[in-house]
Amino acid sequence: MTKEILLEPHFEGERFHHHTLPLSLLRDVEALQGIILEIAKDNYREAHPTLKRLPPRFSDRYELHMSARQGSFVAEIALIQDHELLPGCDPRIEQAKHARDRFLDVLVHFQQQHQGPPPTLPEAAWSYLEKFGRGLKPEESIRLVRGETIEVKFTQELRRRLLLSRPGSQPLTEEVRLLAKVGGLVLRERILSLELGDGRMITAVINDQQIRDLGPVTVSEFGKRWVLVKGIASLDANQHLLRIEEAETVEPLDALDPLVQLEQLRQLPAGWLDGEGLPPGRELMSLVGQWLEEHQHDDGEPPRLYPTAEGGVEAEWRIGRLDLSIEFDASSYMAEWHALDLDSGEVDEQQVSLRDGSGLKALGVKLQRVLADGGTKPSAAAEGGPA
Amino acid sequence: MNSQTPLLRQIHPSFLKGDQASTQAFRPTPKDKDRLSFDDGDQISAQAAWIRYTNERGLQSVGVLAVAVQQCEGENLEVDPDGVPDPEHVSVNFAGKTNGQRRTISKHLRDFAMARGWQVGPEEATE
Repeated sequence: MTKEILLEPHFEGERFHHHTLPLSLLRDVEALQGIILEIAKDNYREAHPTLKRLPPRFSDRYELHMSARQGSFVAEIALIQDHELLPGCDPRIEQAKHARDRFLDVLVHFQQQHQGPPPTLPEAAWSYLEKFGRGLKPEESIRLVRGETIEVKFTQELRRRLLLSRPGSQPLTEEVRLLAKVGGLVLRERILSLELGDGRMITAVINDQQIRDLGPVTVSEFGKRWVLVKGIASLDANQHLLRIEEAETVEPLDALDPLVQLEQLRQLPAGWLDGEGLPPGRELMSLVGQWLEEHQHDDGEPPRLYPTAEGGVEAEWRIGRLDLSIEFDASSYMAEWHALDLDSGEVDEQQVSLRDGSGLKALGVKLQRVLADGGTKPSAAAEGGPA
Repeated sequence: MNSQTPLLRQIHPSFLKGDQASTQAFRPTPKDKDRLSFDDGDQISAQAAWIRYTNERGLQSVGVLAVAVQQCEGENLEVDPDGVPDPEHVSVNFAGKTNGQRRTISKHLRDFAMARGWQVGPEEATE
């Protein structure tokens, strides 16, 4: 047997640097089976308008296989070719390639934002297109190449453009990681209401295990208790969440969880400090969030995150007898480390530019060391690098 | 006012996480121009100061913490009972202190205040 490679989706992004594919993205790859098959069916019907039915076991004949080779993560989507046929004599190959080409032509149309109507796709293919790339994060893409002339970088944005073009006005679905407050819970119907940052409420149908994961919730906690929901959400054309279609995990979060504190900072209005405070900007919040996620131990003392009047963020820890604060200053774009040993009065100060990636990483390692030491070693604060 | 006089400090809701006030509540922001505002606890009660600050002025405060005059002076800060804008108003002057010194001082003052305990509140956080 030989394999005829139809597509080589290159998964590009941080998650694929180890040449692996998260299992959660297999559904996205699986969608290619439906896309190729439905287009192949449509092509067949167009080519044989007098036939009332597709040939028997048509679907089985287009069972695609995936293999992988090194790269960021490069999948090979192939048809397995019967060895009894001479190369080039299997009609399925040409038909599958034709289906692939039609799929890529549509993507190219939207990637290049061509004017005029896009090449059409069969209605039955859209439910699979909905799944393809749904798990991509904003900075990730799937690169699809055909020959030397066609290259498509399939991103969240391209997926949106494609799906918004489909006939009818159906909501988009996307994988989401949503931080919200519990707005209500109807146990009998397993409906969890979620209060979003803008005050809107959406619902999620959850299962018995997720209700157990959520733990007891009293009415007095509605609007206060934070929860992290991962799953598939439907969104309108303006990217507003409509509902959680399928909740995969429901995780209650403590009020001091950094995710919750960061979300509270994001919701600060301009003039939050009696008319004068600047809210932290999106870029700074993203940087602080990523830095903490990388260096703050889940089981370590959580930081308390406070806004600064100038639009920065101050993280404060009490680790044993060490009073540590790091100000992420929005105006100077510096991280300012200040560790005070409450017994000796010794102070360790360090400044790192927020644009200095390696400096920030070293500061993170210093934080990890201090957290691991529990602030008990007198020299802990001073060990982490140049002051 | 004497060395034991409590100096009352209003705490903005964004400077309270869980049960812990931020050290920022105890160092001046740029709008304070080096002078951190307090009320003289010998002249006005913490409750009355909080009501005036929130209900009458419409400013935000989850509660009142306090440090003693001598605790500020122990940090080499000048305590100035300037009486403006209210007769009970006291300014604690951070002029001449570096950023690092301000952070160290604010950590000490916050700890003194938390050890003394809340004079009013704190109100339950709304988040």
